[in-house]
Amino acid sequence: MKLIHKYSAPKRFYELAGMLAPWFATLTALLFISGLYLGLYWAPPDYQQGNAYRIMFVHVPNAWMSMMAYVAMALFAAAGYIWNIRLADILAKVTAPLGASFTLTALVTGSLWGKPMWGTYWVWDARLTSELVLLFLYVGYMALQASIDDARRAAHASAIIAIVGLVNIPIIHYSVYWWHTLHQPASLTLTSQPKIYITMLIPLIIMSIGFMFFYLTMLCVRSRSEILWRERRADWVRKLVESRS
Amino acid sequence: MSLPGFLQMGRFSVFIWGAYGFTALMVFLNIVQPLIERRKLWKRLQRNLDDGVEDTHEEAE
Repeated sequence: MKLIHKYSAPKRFYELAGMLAPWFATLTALLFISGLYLGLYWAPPDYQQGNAYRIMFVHVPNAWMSMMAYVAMALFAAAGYIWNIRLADILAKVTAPLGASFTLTALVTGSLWGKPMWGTYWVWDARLTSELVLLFLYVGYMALQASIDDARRAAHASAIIAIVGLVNIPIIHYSVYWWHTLHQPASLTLTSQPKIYITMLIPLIIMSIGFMFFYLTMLCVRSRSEILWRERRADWVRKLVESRS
Repeated sequence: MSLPGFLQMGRFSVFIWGAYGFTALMVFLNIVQPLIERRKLWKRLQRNLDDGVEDTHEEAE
């Protein structure tokens, strides 16, 4: 808790994010390069889907990140709402566009995978529809943030959307079990053996970790800009601007 | 696998490269957009400092 208080001061976090961003970016690049090499070249074609299954290496990490980013956004928003932590409001705000882009990518790559495998780009099944609802939640959150000038009030109002929308995450996850869907159930769970071959599993995990570090990198970059703007009246920002001129 | 064979990716190459292309575009936009915003922000902060008047208007750019 002491550590949280220490780094939740915007100035501290600005410095910490500046220090971490290059490391996260390097890790992201390395993971993406190795993941793409292994996924596109090293992994063998699937006996049923041929090469089309390789879409999985971008679709699945983006789908996971779309949900993880939403949970992170809701937790940040809740922390900002309950404890009035300014940094939490900032992190929730900058997570939203990243999460929306993960969700959009998951939907588009999913439909590009669906066409050759299912014969259609889109069906209104539970998994696809709940993922689309997630995109609307992100868009709604961002629209509400943008429509209120006062940052504090905007954070409080949009936090409600973020927290209420959290109910959609288990719906997305369990939709393939609760309803009969065209979308397949999870091939990877924490409690059972993976249902995919190791040569396909390794690139999938590498790409997933890569997208996680990509999120962390962009979180650092975006939050630094947001901190600068919100703290523009603070002495340390004025000194920083002066030192750059 | 040869390079043409790799690029061909069997009969679903349009979908595979379409998916990877879209993902690459989203990653690119996610990198470029905050960097452009950051550049604009620095200019605005600089102007605020020079003028001594706070410019908070979005369209001031």
